[in-house]
Amino acid sequence: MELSRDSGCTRELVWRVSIVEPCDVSIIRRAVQSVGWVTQFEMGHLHVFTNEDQHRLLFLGHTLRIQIRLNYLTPKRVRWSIANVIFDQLCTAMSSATQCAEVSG
Amino acid sequence: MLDLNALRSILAPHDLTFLAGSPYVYHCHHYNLFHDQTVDDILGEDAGRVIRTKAASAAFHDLLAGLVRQADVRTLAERVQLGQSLVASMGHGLLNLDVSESGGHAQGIHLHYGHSWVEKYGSRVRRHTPADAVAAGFAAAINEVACGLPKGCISAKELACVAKRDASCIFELARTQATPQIEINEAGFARVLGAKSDGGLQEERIQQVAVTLQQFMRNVAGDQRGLVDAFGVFVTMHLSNYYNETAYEAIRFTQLNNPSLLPTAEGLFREAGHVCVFNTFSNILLSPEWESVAAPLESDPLGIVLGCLSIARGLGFGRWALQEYEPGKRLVISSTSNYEAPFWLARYGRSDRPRSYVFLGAALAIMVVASRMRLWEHPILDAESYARLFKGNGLGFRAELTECQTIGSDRTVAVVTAA
Repeated sequence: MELSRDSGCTRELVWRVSIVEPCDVSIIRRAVQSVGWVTQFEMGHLHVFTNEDQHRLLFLGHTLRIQIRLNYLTPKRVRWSIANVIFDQLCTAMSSATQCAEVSG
Repeated sequence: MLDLNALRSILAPHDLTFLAGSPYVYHCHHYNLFHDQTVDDILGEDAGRVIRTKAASAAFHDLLAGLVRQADVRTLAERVQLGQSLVASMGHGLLNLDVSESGGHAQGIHLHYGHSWVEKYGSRVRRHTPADAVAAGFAAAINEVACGLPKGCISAKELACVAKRDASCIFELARTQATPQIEINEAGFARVLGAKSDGGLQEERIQQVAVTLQQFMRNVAGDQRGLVDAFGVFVTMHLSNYYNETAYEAIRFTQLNNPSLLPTAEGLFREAGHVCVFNTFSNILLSPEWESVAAPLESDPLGIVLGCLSIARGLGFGRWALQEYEPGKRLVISSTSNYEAPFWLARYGRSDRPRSYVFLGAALAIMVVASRMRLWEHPILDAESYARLFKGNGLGFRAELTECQTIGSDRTVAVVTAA
């Protein structure tokens, strides 16, 4: 998995997570729920999760696009580091969730 | 938060949207800040702020008064609460009011204009004037409606503002002489537009996505801070009477007092259309939300053009339709409805010149974005890329309104050609 700035015009508030492993919404949901995120909104292919700091994770089931959208009150000086913390947390949770899926599958 | 969906209506078949009869559209913070700056550039900061405050107050008074009548809300406290909830639900932030018939005061927290100005410019520009004329006007209107006062009889002044690095936004409200102003609402739009609408090329594809986007927008509302963070921008549901009143009064002022500067003033409001497409439309096209509503972008300029027309309809800008498109050479967009022309006709009557400035600027910007931005490669949208595309000699296209409803045409047509 890789983290990079996503396209858009707000400074370092949106980040793209690129994944290479096969993934689906059940794995993503299990992963983010294991680290305390909850579903905020779902419509069609779009699944939006949020955590206690009101950061959001947007996941598209049909394209596997993942976007981290930081809470807009996050100070500019810490956006990069917070995005990386969330990314690291997500990597670990995804790894566990994928292993669980393989075992149960 | 107030549920706005029961109050919404769409004037079919024009794709114009209304909230309790008041026309509204969605615009992002880049557009909103640019629009306000343009009004101030033309009129001067003090006069600009006065006219913006009055326009916001008048537009919001019409909306809130209609709601109060519909819901039979009677007490001052309930009406203030309704007004505050409405402001937050529309994405303008939190307003707390303490008012009586003689005025009062208000405090704003996370107001859309002040907050987004700090986000966009705060680390680079020192601002000395307040940014929240819209919230000031909304506060004045809540004061008026809550106390059963006539439209325009409360003035508002922002004494402190986060954009000036004050701790919060503070407003003073006071009685003033009311100036009569007509209400321009759904019935007025319907009267000047009639029932006929015009389609164009790829009509089914454009409209299908537009309808899905309209449905998606029903879920878009202010969060617990009264802000909307969607598509990677701050979005407002905004009363188009505000945009039109302020833009057209600034244009009319220029035409009357300094006609040699009219082309410059008109050019600035056309540029507002560039800002809208570059920021609002492009951010939507690049967003995960768009991939859900439509599909991921493909390396196809026509797809960008069609997407922009769906977005215009989905945001309540009117039924924009594609008449011709030759990539990089010629683009013709028509509308039997946009949110500017009906306002002009209802407010001032038939004009001697085309007045659909945002529509014209947006048409040109759609051509630029489709031809040169390669959105499918997910570029970063920043001030530098905007300047590269739209400033100086970089534009490469010219645009004109060959027909406009403000001069009596049945539709408005923008023709964009390579320069």
